Amino acid sequence: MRMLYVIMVVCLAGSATAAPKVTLPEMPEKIDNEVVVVARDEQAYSVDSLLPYTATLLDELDVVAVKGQSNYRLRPQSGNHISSARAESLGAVGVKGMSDVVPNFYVPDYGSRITSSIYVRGIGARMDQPAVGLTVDNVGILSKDAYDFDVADVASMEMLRGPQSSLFGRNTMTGMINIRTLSPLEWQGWRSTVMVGLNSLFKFNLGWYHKFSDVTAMSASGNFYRYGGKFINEYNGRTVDKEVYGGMRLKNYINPSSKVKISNVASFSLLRQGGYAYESVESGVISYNDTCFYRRFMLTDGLTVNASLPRDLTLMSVTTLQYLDDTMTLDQDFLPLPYFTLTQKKRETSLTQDLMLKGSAASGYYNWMVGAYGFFRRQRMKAPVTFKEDGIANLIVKHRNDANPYYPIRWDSDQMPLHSDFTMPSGGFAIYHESRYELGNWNFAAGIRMDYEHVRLDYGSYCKSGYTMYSNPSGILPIPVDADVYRHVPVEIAMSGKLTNHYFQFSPKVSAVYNFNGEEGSNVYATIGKGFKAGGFNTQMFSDVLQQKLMEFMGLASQYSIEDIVSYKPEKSWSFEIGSHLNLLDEKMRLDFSLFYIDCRDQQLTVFPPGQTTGRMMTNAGRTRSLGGEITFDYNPITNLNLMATYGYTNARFVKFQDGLNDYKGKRVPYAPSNTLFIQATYLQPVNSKGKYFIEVSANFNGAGNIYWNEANTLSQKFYGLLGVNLAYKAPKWSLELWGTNLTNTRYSTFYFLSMGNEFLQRGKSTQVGVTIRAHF
Amino acid sequence: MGLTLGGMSMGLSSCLGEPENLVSYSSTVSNYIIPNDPSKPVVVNASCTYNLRLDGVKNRITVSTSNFEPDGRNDLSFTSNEMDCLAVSAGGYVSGNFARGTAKLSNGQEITRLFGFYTSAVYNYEVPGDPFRPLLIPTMLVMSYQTPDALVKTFSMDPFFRGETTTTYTFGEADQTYKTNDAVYRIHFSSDMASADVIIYNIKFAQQMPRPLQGVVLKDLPVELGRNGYRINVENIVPEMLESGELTPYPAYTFDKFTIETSSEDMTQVACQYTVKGVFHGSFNGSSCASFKVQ
Repeated sequence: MRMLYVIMVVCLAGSATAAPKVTLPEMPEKIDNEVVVVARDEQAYSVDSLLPYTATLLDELDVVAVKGQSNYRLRPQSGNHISSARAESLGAVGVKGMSDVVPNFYVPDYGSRITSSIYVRGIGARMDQPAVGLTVDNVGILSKDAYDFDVADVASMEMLRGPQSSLFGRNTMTGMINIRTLSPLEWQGWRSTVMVGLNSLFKFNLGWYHKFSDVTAMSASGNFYRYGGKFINEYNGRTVDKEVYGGMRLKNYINPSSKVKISNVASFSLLRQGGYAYESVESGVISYNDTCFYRRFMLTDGLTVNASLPRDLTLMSVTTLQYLDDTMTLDQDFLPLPYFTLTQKKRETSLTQDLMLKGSAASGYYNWMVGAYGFFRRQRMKAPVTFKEDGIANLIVKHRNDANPYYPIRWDSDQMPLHSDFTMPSGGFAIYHESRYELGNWNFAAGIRMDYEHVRLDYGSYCKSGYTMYSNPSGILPIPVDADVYRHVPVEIAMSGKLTNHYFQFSPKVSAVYNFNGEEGSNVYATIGKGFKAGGFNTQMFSDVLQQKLMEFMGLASQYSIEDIVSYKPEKSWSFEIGSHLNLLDEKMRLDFSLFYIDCRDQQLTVFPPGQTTGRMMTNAGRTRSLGGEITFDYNPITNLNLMATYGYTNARFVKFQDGLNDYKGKRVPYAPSNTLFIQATYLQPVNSKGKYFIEVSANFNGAGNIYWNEANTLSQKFYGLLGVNLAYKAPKWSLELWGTNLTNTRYSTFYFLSMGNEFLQRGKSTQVGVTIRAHF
Repeated sequence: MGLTLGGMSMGLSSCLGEPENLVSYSSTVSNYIIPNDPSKPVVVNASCTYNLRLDGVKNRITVSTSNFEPDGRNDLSFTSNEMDCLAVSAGGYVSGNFARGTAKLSNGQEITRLFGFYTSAVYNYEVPGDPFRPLLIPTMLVMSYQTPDALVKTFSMDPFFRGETTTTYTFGEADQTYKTNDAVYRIHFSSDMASADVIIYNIKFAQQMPRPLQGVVLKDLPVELGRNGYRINVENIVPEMLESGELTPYPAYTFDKFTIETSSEDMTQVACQYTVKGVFHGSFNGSSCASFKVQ
């Protein structure tokens, strides 16, 4: 039996008992090492009437499918697939929307779009390196700062859980997110979406998809999003979370011959948002005096070439170029007082190249793949922290004068900038291999990848200021008006240097699948794999390092060296998983479940330094373990009703973590929810006998929790649930939807942090209702 | 600030024309001269250079000098007999013991019971004002010998002592104890040993102190020279601390009492007690080098 590499594009969910059954195109007899896409009815819904595009056999170039099988349910792989229809019904246009559906996958919405804290099975990070990879139309997004963006015309969204490092290398330790957008080979015409909602929500998408011939196709699409904001900054009465976003995407497909297929996807996006709706726990309000905003420009381009070679070999090349230019400014104390602000201006350019060669033995029982990957990334950043009058007074002068009230000081100015400039070039290469062997009902696979990475940090930090020391014989503060000047002290601090690091990582993986007879696609599997998250340098700590230098200048010793606090090592994990994919009741029910155990070493955690300091720091926590399970249930009891539910449980705890003062062994890993739950019921009712007009009613419930906010587990967010409803009228070429999210106006928090001893929470979004009109022609 | 490293240096050289198995060290130390007559005062030679000549094959050493001043005035010289001396490596440094040495002074007097050790296990630090970090370790000579009139001990006039500092204090309503090995104590003697500056580096008096103090300086403390070693004992001293490269008085950390004195026969160890602000009661026992058995 030949192995078929088939990408299943799961199309829209919908069914109607009275609607005509879908006739799928015939599967070709010989699909020989060729990547093909078959649009397929997901749950026996009426594709023709519901889909904005017709089912068709089409060619698609998807590196994720080439590196593995297209359908994760046929593989030893836990995952979830979200069709475009379900994404539309949930309003999911990116990674954050996926987290509502996928079990044990949590992407809280807080701060701004630069913050993409992704936790999968208890493993994740709030800054720097991600634990999950992300590709959009074959473009692997390297920077986690760029993970949060809206994708228009989603064709499918897929989350693969478990280590993917044996094929994809760095930062895929807990999984891989693959988003595919609509292809002009798949659908042709114009399509548009208009959405309006509360708080001045407005969204507009427009796309043009055209197939010039059987060998060339092109699409151009754009999207615009505006949100007026909900949360108010009590200090100035303005909304803080307003946002304007726009982007374009251009896709080109060229098949110069029957053996060569080329596609290119280029996109850019612009973003400007306020964000940072951080509420003080003490006062219960959002109130800060300095500006917060995030601005971003992002450009990506991905070129994919697929060539069929003699001897049934296939060569695939994926080249990507990414450019990111963003600026973040924060009132870093988040108080209505002039303490300090942070600005981070970053420019990043990345180039990646992935080459894959695959083949199979003549018998067809053995398939193999080898590949090579290389990347180069250069980041330049300026990150000044400005201490303002209260910051200088309470964080510097007060400490100094409390220590020596007999010779107290006054700072020369009411502002003191601490400048930091960084350049971080990094690069690496990898080689990888995977073999698969089929033996009756069994499939065995083994793979290994070797990664080498070199990273360098060139830093320069400086500060120029000064203060005056007075003689105060009484030792009583404040400084008497007539106190004599003892001496003036100029403050000049300059640090510069270079740090380098490099490492090798080996990522093996083995798996076995047993396919049941009789039930196509039903199997049980077991897999063991190693993953890793890249190491690096935490530049956000430099403001604290400069502050320490200042303290040292004033007679207080340093607590740690630059390299100790800035560098962090790769995080590694071993993952053990068993699971099953079951197609039951004549494929009316799909049931997937998995159990996992993850042993994570040198886990990268963000902690806040003790006392009144700025910024956060990364640390390699030692060791954690995570165990749990997921279940996904998808059932069509009748042809016009779909029931879907997912549940994930994670018990992630520190096995070893001491921060110098406390021992957190046995405590839950913070920021990762113990439970995730998603339930959705969708009913499709035809309104005419021809089955071309439908009313769709969908209700969903998603929740997460408990979420612990600190390593000591003294603060937490209890489990919370959000109710959403979608009511749509669907015609062949247009649809009108009324929708609402968090209809019970559940109050919950998505993020917590401590700054200068003050506690802050990010509140989750309250009730949102709106109208969406979609049209295609 | 005028503090500089001084009082001890040791250089290694191989003399031209000598067989390769012979190695010469020179060590400039100070001599603490304790007269046999207890009514006579202790004499200090601020600077005396001893030459050590090691035979790595025979494992033997000779010690010589040409500027020994037993009465503080006249230079005398001597060269010892060959003594057994096996150089050993331990913990990243090299040392060698020697004993049962004799010599004849240039004035005809006999030297007996010459013994000691050389070691590179000495911690030494940069001038205050720089980040606190240990430098490369210089070698050190610790030696004692008997002349007809006095017992002579070599010592440093700028030693650094490491060990454990224990501080007791009351925080809230509870008595607490804080221990640290991070603090280093330095005594910088004046050339006539009449006074000394004591500097305590990297000191925290309590766990609750957010950061250690980089350098606490007690200036111009009177020194008592006794037959068992030197002693500093003062009260009510206002320390100075480095701030932007200059010393600033810190009355808030006034030392109500401060005592530091040698606590070993070879003068490489000290014991220290102090009280700060009437609140912190500190004690320190430290050594200026790794302890080796002195025969």
